[in-house]
Amino acid sequence: MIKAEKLTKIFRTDEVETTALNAVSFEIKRGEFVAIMGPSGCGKSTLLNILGLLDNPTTGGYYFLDNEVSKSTERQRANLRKQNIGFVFQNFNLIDELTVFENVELPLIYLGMPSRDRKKRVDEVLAQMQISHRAKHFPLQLSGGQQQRVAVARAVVAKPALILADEPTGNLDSAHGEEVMNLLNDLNVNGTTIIMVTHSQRDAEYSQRVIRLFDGQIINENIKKSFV
Amino acid sequence: MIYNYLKIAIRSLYKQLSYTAINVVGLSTGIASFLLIMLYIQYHLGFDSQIPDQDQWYRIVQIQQAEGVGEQHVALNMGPLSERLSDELPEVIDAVRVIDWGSKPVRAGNSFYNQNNVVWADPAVFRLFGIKLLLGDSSEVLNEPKSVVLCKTLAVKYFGSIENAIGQNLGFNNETGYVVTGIMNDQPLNTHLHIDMMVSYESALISFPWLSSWGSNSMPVYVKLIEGCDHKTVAEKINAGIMQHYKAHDMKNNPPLMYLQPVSDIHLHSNHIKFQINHKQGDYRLVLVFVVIALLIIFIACINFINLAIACSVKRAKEVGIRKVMGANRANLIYQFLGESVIISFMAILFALVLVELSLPEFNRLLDNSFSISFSSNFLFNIGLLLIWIFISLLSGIYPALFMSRFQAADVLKGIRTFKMGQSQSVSGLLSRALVVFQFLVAITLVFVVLVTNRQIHFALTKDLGYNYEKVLAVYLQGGDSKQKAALLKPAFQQLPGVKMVAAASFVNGVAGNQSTITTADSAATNLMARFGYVDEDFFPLMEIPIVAGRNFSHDFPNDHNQSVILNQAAVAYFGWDNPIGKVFNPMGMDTINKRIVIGVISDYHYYSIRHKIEPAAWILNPEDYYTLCVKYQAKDITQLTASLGEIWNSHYPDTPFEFVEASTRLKQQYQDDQNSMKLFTMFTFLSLLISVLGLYGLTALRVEQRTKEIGIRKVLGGSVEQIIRLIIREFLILVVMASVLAIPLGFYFSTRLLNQFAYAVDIGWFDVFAALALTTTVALTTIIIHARRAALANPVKSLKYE
Repeated sequence: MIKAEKLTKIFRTDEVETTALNAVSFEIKRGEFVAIMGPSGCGKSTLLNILGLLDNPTTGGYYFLDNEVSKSTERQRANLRKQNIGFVFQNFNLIDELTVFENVELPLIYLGMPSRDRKKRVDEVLAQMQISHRAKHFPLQLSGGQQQRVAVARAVVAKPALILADEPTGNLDSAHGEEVMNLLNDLNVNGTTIIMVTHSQRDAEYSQRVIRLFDGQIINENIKKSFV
Repeated sequence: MIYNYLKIAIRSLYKQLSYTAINVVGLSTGIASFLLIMLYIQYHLGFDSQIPDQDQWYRIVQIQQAEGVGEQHVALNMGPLSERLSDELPEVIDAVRVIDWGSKPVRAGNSFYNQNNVVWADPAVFRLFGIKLLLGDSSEVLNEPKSVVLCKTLAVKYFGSIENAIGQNLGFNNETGYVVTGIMNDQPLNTHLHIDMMVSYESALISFPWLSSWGSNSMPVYVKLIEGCDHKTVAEKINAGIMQHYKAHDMKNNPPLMYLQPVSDIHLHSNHIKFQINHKQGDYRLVLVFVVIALLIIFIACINFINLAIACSVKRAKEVGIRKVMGANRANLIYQFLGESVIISFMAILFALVLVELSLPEFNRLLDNSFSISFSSNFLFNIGLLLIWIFISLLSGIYPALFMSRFQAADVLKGIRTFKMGQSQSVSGLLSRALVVFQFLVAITLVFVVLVTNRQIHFALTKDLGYNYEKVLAVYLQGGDSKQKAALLKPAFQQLPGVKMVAAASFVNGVAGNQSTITTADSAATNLMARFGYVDEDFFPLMEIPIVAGRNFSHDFPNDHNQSVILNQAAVAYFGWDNPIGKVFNPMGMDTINKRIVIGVISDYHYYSIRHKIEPAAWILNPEDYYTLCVKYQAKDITQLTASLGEIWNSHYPDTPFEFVEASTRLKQQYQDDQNSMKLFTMFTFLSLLISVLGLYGLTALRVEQRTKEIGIRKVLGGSVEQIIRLIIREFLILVVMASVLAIPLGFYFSTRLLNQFAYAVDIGWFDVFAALALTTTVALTTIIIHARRAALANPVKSLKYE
């Protein structure tokens, strides 16, 4: 599903050049649950942005669903993204001005789905995430755990093949964090590929493979025995 | 998706209520100003639009070379010209003479009315002005002498109904036997020649047979040319051919040069024409000034929108990022942000319409007009509103939309701030600064020009005009036989308590309005184009006009009325005489018999507006031409005095209405248009300043909010309140100072151009510069300090926590 070949990302300012990713190569197959770990500043989020088609690498090749996308335009990336990728962020990134329902509905709107179908699908997902009773509330009226449930609902509403989660439990207490991890695990069991950036060893336990980054390079790829 | 855009637009506008309010208030004030100005401009551009085949009608204008005055354009012509044009030039398919008879006392039945807008006209006047007759046949109603056509309102006023009016008799002054032959629709007010009553041209010839001569230069002549005909060619033919008739009449002088002025130009492009009939004359330069002001105000309001949107973009960045992550492309976001500006513009237009409705009464009072908003009948207005909506939505929305949609999702979600106004290297930061500078540049320049023109108007109203017209009443000797009236009433008025002096004159300013050539009787036979004034021996003393050489008219010299003339200094200067007393002139004015000797020279006084130089003038003692009695009074209460004057009048002339006016009121009326324009100008300048300040208020607030963390850190590290206030003030004050530096030369330039319209004007000084800068800088500084102080006084712990 995903193939990264010597991905390099260099950030340049007037005087400073920072290499965030340094010739990173790996492959992720459909249905995998992969955790990316490493200390702050090691390039985890940069890698996730490239994998999520939010950013292009400076050099190297990136194959997403067998398409080479490292040189794609923003429009092409947006099209691929909205059809195939769902995102879950540490700080939820819900739009404060939209209700829970409207936040979850957003990806479907950009996919051009008719209103009636959208409503049906959003209701389904909200029920699945057990958050239907909060549909008309605004994000700031919800607890952190509830907000992250909404974010997960929004990530899965368009039935993406891939979910990218950037420290999904980072802002949650342990009980809410576990709830969210269980949700992601259920999605993975049902066939969704999940790539998760995390600092938490406990969360990484949910994955089948851990990629460890340090200073922009992969230092270790640990495949769990149970998955092999 | 549109519903989603609308929803989020309305919610985010609601969430940032104070900025939405600033935007809506600024934009609606701007749009309201724009709409008011557009109503004013539409009114001016709509002048004479009722004239059918407007592009084929022209007014004939003369260029005279007047000795002592220079070149002058005159839109009055000779009686025989129109007939010759129709007969001799195949290009001319119609020609019309119209003579303004001015205000006349009209007797209808047993009632008297003071009637304005009465003209003598050829029957072709119906074709020229597209006048529709309600009763009567346009080819017949003005054919006979003493036939009269009334407008509908007058017919009903005089005779109860239009049907009753037909065939009724009317009297003018002492003349009777005028018959109503037709009733026309009321004429529109926005026409250069407003007509309420028409009397056949033939009637004028009965009273004034000289109108048939080539010397009668006293009526506008209009011609209609065949379609597609070049009016310059026709003018050449008139100059080469027709004016030969004039040469036959006046062997001595060259005929004036003629040209054809399109009737569509008469209202706005006739400032250079000296003698003309031009009801509510406009000036295209003034229209242009207001168009520019309207556009500037709209632009300033849009700048607020743009700047506030850019400043708010930091807050909206997260939303942009999320939407991009969710699959939105740039176009989606551009539509969304444009949608918001469409909504704000729409709200602003609704508010603007309310503002316009509220301000129309005062606006109409200022301009002596009756503008109104009419969605049903003013198609242009509706189209204009729609265009304004689109224009403002695009102008104010497009840059923020392009700017915000460019945010990179990855950057935004990582928390990289793509924009800060303080970062001068950012393009948007520079643009924001440039726009603020532009706003204040416009505001300061306008304030500068307003201050200068206000001083000029004040100067015009208070300048020593060379005569004292305070505490003078002008009583109009109307109803015919003015000579006899003057002779009878003057001594009677003189007897009244509170009356200091009474004098007779052609008009309260001492001149009659006409102008003709006077020629010295010596061998050099020098010519001079002079204004004429007809006054008695008491006029100059009453108006306190000094005699600088020779003497005044006097009862002691019984031949003064047919042998003497008094000149002003301008006339003497033209002749270059050191001792003008005793110089002899050939017969002048209507007098063709008596030579006149200069008996005195009066000090120059401004008998007309200070827009014009004082022209050479000659005064003659001629009771036949007294139409005004000037009554100098010392009484404090003029109610009693005017009542007594009225009683005397009514006891002698019960059939003629008693009419008077305060001389100062009448003379200040010539600056009324200037004053009104000035008030409008001041109002719109104030609004532009208000909108600019409103924008600055919002921008400072946002900027302070963005710098909360920095302010907190500075305070923690020991920064004092004053230092922090200075820090914030400096950021914006630099912009205001830059605007000021640019505004000073602009203000000088525009003020000088404005003052050039006046022959006598104030000097532009550093006081104007200082006052304009002080006013705008104080307002701007106050706005900035309000926010800076609040930020500086805030608890740094809270500021840092907030960040």
